[in-house]
Amino acid sequence: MSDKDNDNDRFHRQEENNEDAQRRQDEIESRAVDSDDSPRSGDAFESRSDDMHRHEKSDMDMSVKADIPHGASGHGALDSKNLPRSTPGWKILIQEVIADKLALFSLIIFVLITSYVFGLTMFLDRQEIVSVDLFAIHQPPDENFRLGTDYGGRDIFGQLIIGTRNSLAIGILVTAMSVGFGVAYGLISGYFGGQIDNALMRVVDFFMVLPFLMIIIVFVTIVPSYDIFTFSLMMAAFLWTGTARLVRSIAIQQKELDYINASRTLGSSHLKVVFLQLMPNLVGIIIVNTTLSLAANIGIESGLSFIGFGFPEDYPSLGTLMAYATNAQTLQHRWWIWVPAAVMILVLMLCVRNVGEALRRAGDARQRQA
Amino acid sequence: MLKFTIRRLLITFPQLILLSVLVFMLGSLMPGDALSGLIDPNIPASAIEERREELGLNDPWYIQYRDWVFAMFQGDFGTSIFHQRPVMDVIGGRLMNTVWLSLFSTVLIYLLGLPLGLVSGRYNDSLLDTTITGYTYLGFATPQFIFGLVLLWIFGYNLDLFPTGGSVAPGIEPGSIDYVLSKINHLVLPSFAIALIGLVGTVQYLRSGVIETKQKDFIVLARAKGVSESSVYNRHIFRNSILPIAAFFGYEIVALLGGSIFIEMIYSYPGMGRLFLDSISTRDFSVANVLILFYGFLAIAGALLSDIILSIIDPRIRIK
Repeated sequence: MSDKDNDNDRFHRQEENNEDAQRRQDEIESRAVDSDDSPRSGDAFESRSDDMHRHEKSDMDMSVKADIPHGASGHGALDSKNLPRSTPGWKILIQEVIADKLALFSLIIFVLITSYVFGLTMFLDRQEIVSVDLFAIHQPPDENFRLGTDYGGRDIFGQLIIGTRNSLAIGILVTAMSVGFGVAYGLISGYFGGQIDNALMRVVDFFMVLPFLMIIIVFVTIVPSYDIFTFSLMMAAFLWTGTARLVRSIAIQQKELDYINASRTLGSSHLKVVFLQLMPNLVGIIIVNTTLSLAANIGIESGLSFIGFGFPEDYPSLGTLMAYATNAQTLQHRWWIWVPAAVMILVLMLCVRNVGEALRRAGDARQRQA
Repeated sequence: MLKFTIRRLLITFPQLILLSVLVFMLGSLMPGDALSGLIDPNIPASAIEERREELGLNDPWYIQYRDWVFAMFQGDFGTSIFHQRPVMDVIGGRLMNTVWLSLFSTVLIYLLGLPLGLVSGRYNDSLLDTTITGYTYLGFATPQFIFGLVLLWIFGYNLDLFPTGGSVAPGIEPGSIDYVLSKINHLVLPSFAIALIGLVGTVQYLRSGVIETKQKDFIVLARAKGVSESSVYNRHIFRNSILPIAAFFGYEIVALLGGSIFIEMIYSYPGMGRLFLDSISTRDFSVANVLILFYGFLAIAGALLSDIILSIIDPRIRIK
């Protein structure tokens, strides 16, 4: 059990009316807080804030929920099971990535790939690459085509570059949208608490039981035309729930702290408190969550394109190239079509995840390397 | 315990209703209805219109929704336009294949994942642990469909050890020993493709659970009492670290069922995920719709199962 909070949360929900168990739980919880290195530990007002806590939490979550998006289990986005123990600041995050050689290496590779791909696509002609050339069908790699050609005589190398760019662009866009919405949603839910929180969380619960891959597939089929933006919006519509739950659980802890009370007493508006004072304190965990979601989203997008419900063929993504491998002949004899795309997806996801994991470790002082 | 179960059951009802409304809305967005397959130039448009009126397709949406729900309660899930058979027949033919695949994968996940997690947690920071942790790192970053393709490429095509598609070799009489063996043979690659990626979560949680538990006071006490080392690990630590994993059992199964879309496609395995993709590409939306409803229902049931399992196994709840 890498994470106590989730554990506690779960117990909480079941022991609603059981004050004894609740007290025990709070005890465990405060011990959990003590054991980490967060600035909160040793707070003289901790027991008091825990008391206030209890009323808030009591009628919140009935259901026990895993933060696994349905149908994408083990896709590895940050969820409350591997939650950082505290919310690290900017400085610690940067220090940690620099100290962790693997993460630094991954970051450099990722930046190199990204800049190469985005830079090169400015000079590549998409029309030329996606146009059919019947004299060059299924060419193995040679001096004309660095990675050979597909069944339409299209250059694989060009498609790989454009595909990587499209996959990255969608991944980043989906992550920005889903994290942005999820953060706002989680902050509001956690900060206001009570009935608002209750209602908002029921919506999240509902989204989490939806078979989202299937619904996206149906949407893609019945929507007559879509572009990068609407496609990302469709994906983001189902992928924000993990972030929302995560941010909410931290916001609930944070809002009991004195700086929030002080600011309210001085007359700050809720809006100002939530977005200018509470949110900056969650920035560490938001960054960690963003990185790990990015890796997951690149995987989900390429999976959707792979089964043919991502982008059309003249807008190749890495998944589109992989989709050629569903043809047994291609899979068996024409490795140059799909292996580079597979390697690219693996490298991208591994790099982003390595950075994300390093950042996550930065949240736990015992695991820090810097 | 009973109270919790009842309250937990109660909140599934709104979820079920919302799910059914959503699926109904998706269904009405999809082109085509029960009569599209019957359109024939020889039948006058007025006759079709009459049929539409008769079938209630011109009613307002809430009446249609009510009729749709009532029909489902009576076991009528509509007719597949493509197969010209009741949807339930079409799905029923594929159901058992997916159930077998999920069953095999689940068994493999726990059969391989639990020992790996235990060993990795027990000898943490050893070479063995580093290898296993490295594997989970890779596993988290590998999309299932790529792993499935690579397995198919290596073991299906290049080494020719396992069949590359289908659920049973053609021409074998159902019910014979050969039939069962052929089925199992077809299951090996897809279920390993699912399990080897699916187990990384289990391994990781069990590992960190073991590492955390083995520093606790009651373990020190058990050792001090003279409990043997194997007993400490197999009984005291294992029982305590297995809780979260047992609690996720329901989700795990649901995720397996839902995630099998990719694997069933890669291995041309005739299960429900494959049926879903086929029905989308043949625009047979009545089947697709029921499948979404079915998977959504499974997810709700899985969440319920997980919560109930947790409330049963967690001793802290039993004490009260």
